[in-house]
Amino acid sequence: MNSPDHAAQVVGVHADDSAPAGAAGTTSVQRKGMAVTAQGYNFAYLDEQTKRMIRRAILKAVAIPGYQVPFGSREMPLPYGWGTGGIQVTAAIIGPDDILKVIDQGSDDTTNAVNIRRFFAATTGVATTERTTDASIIQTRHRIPETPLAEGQVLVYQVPIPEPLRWLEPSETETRRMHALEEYGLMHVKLYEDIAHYGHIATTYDYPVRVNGRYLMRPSPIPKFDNPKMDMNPALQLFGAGREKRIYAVPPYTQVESLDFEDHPFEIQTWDECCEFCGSKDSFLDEIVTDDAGGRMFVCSDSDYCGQRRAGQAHGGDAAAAQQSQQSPNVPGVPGVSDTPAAQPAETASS
Amino acid sequence: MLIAGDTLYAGFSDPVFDSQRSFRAVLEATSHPGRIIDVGTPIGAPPPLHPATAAICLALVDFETPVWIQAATDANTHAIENATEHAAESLSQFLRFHCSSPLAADPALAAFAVIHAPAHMPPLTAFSAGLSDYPDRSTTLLIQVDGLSTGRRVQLSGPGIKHTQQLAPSGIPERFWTEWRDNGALFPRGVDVLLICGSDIAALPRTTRVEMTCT
Repeated sequence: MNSPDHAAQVVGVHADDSAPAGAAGTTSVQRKGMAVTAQGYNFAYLDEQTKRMIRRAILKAVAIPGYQVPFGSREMPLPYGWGTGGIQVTAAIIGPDDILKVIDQGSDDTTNAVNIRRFFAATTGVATTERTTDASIIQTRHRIPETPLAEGQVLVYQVPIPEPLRWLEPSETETRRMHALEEYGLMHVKLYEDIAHYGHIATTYDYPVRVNGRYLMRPSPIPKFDNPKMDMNPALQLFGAGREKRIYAVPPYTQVESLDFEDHPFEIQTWDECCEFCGSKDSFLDEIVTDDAGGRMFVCSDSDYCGQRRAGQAHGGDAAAAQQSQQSPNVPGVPGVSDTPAAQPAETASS
Repeated sequence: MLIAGDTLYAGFSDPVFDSQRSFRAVLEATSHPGRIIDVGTPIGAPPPLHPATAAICLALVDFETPVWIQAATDANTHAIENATEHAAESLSQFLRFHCSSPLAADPALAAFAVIHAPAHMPPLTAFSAGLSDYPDRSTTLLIQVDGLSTGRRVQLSGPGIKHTQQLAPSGIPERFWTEWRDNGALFPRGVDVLLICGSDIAALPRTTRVEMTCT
């Protein structure tokens, strides 16, 4: 487990538990009836001056959609690459009335998500949830929830490499100039080379987008399946890169366009299979190897979406989908898609 | 230096949560340009500061952000000097005490500008529009107006606005809208504006396009 030390002490504590007597030091929090178990920390861990600095960066990021605002990223109680950028953004915006959801590759149950959720439960005492619709802030690593987001929600992405041109041009000075001059031909050449090599654009995650027709932006390593969800989304989307010290944003109702060519239009992944559990044919599916004999199954990457669908089916809701799920063939050796997140290289470790 | 008879107004009673609430109001306003948002942080503000202006300053301004205060340092506003000289002094005292912020003599060097008499404000080009490599290094203007829904109606569009958004700020000079169009043409450079009245704010980030309506 890579959980931060003090967060590890509060395993199992939820905000709706009664306030422990030990919270006496945090009077203003206690007044609001919340359980803060981490002692000796400011609300949401960061000091107030750091929060102000991050807040100013966030406001400029929203004012200049897609532009990467440099900020003074702090050391956090977990290593760079474990979501420090997203955590700092969340810590700067979160308040006592917020309800936090944290997902890692779509799931609420994976190590990174559990750690970060506990971290904020311990340092803020805010309520946490796994329901996408209940959350006011959703911190995410590498997915956008399947359930459509609503106005007023904030989606915080953990970003490993914020600069879309970085693998094409190593110099920060140069890439900054290229953004200033709107000089993005290199990225089109890269996508064209994909077509020349493979016959199609082989970039399947972290697929570059243009925000509001101006800045080229890296959407963090979400599958390109999620790219269309960014476009004109009613929720505010904030991106934090801790190691690279950048914050950027997509305001609500902002045009986000995936790069493509007229004769090679942008396409999202599709699967021949449906989810083994809920039978969904519309969600992003993870391919899970089940044995040594080539057995595998496909399940929703979004655990809340899958769980809600199954709960609905259990109440006799979507009987057809449940039946479909039972009939779903467990075909070995035929991956519907070759680029599930499991195939991502090490560089995509979130920051 | 406290002027005799002056009161130094208190800051936030609960700095952590009041800052957070004020910031979220500004974030919501910036995310939805033209939408009127109540900052809702109870605070006493030294005149001519409106409560929302004081709350935003306490939430966002510190030793890293030079502030330009209208009239206190602007030689061009002698006409309104008498009325605002004293006000500007108590205002700068408030900011220096609570935020430790340096005061900028030149609006082009300010991270924030506090404007309480928009009729006499310098043109938007007097403020920092940032650099083409670093467009975030631009001034955020806090402009206090007489009302946000009682003046001439303008129609807003751009990121953060689903279709269009109406706003009717009063007490803002006509030239502001011409200057705002020129500001938009600088994108990605440009200044960002928060219009403030009482405890209400409405944001005009640089991406917001404004059309004058005939009504």
